[in-house]
Amino acid sequence: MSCSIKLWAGNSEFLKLPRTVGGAFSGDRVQFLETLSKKLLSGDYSATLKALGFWLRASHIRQWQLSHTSDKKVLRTPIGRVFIVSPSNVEGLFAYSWALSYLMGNQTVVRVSENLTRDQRDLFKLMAILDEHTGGLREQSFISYDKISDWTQKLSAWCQLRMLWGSDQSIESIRQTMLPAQSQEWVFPDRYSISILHLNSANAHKVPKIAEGFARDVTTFQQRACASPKWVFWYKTDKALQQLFWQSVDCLVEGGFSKNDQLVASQYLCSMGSYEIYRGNIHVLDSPVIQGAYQHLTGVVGQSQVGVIEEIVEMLPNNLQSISIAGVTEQEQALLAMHSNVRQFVQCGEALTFNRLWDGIDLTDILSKAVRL
Amino acid sequence: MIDWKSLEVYGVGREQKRAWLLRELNSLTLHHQANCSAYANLLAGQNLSAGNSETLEGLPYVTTRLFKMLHLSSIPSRELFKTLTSSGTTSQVKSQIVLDRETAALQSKVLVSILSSFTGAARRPMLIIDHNGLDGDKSGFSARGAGVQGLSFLGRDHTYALNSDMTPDWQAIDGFIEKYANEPVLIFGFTFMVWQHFIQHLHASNRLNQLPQALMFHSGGWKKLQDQAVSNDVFKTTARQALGENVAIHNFYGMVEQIGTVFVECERGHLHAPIYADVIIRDQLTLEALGSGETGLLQVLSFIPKSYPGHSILTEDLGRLLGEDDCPCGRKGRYFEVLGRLPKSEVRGCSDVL
Repeated sequence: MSCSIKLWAGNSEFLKLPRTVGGAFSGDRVQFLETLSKKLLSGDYSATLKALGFWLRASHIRQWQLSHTSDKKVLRTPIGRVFIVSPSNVEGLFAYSWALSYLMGNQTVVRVSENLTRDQRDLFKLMAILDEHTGGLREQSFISYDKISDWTQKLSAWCQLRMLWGSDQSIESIRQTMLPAQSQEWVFPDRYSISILHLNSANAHKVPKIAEGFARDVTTFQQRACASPKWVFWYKTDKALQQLFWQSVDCLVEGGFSKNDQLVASQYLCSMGSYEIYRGNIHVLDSPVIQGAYQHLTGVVGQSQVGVIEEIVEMLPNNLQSISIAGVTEQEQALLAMHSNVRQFVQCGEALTFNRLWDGIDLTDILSKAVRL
Repeated sequence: MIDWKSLEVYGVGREQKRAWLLRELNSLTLHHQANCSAYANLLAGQNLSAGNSETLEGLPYVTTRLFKMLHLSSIPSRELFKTLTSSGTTSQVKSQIVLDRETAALQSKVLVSILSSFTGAARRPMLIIDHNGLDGDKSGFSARGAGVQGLSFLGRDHTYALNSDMTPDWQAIDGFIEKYANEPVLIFGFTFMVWQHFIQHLHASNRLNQLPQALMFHSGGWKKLQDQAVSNDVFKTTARQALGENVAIHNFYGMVEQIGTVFVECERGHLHAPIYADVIIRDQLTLEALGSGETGLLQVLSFIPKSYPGHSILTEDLGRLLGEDDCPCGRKGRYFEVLGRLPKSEVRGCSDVL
């Protein structure tokens, strides 16, 4: 029962492609991404797409290339055929994982939700134009299909690497579809992220800047991204500075959230035992321990007070991803890393900046083979 | 306290109704605070006091989505009689509503009391636009099954109009028509199913003017019909062509979180709050209660829920208050219209192209 697919850009005949030939960082692929980057940065595109353009800038790609070519005894070659299922909460995310797969020389099929956002339409349109001029996407496909079709099955049989981004529920559902023994799989499921802020007289002057970064991290994608902070641990921080921080954040997130979503989130946390201490553009709830780490709550941030880092360690959930920090030392970070599942430490404001080291994994490594010479 | 059975469904004016309902609801808030720890936490966490509200608008409310996220119960597990689940679309998490015998019985009695004020006391022959076999087991009773069961108290000779694959069971339908064409009958089904699996097929098979003395209740949301550009007026006109030009057709608004106290559409097309329930419209941004004519989120109040803290719920439906005690149909109480769903009312996490 092969239902039809929708092709947004690239080649519709992906199942018939011959084996890909070539290595990672091939000249034409690097060139394609550089052109894409320039067009995104110079054209009339959204801030989200411009961020993608900036991420794909030539100097950045060269850095990755250098880090991969330093060992002359190892040759980077593609995995081969890569099937990426992308999430819809962070609609631009597919472009990042695709670009890395592309750069490593793979044939890639990316499945996106069929309700395209405006950004997605704009990006696909631009890619299709570039493809027409360069043929750069002849081994790439961006598609949508109905979940009741057998396309997940076909693509799982086709690929050599299946990469799933999505909720725990959707990943578990796709995992029902058999993957051949010779193929690999990487999954990026639901994650939970927090912030640890240690403010004192030494960094009090930075509070407005830290608050600005924090506000950016919570409002981008309406706090629905895995790396969006949901809970703040105040580490040895005076209440007056906390208040100053929340006031600054509140001014910066005006209109950022649905009031109903916020009420739902607040009521949920209250029913678990939290206390709502502030209700403005952002809701702040107080509790001695993290609550709601496995729920999708938006427009609220929980907070707890701690005097020693070890107290935090005991509360961190298994699905922890990012910890955005201010005033936390490298030794303290190391202690947290060794006692929890944290995948990255970032400065406030950078939680959602995509990095090829994502979720504790070097994506360029897993999207290629390291061939020992 | 005045017993609910002594009150006229649509005959009590504003002041008297408010006084009675407020006392019932304040006492329910106290009851749930004492018996449901999550609800007690919710009140404490939001700094809300229980049992002493001086207005209906001042009563604490629970957001409807909370019933999908939490198991909210005010009864010990040994008293659990059945759990209702919302019909919800496949990818959505369903609401869980726990009932003890007392609450379940009250739901049925109140529903009959409200609807029989339209049908009269005598039980009518009843055509159900669904298939037989919705009962399932009591641990996961669906809202659809509960709706059919609740309304079946109003009828006799219950006849199911559909086969299990949703095609019309013509033998059953034609048999019912033949037997009761000249009698007052009752038809009930969910709005979309009545339209898609019954009315459309009556037209297609040229069965017109079939049950001229029928009264039809239907419920369950308009979204699918709006997608097909079918308005309430089109629905009624088309249904009357198939059944008879004087057939009474009443939509009602209700939800699994407050089974029993339904809001029935009158002859003027307005949804009415019965004495046992009420609606408040709240501003989407400030959550302040709004007056007539303004659009906002619908809050629903009901004196029934005793086994779970659902007596005051903020829904994700948008509505508009049209008036109070002065509908030209003669019924007292607030009347309103429902204007659809709050867009994107389901927050999803790192999800899902599924």
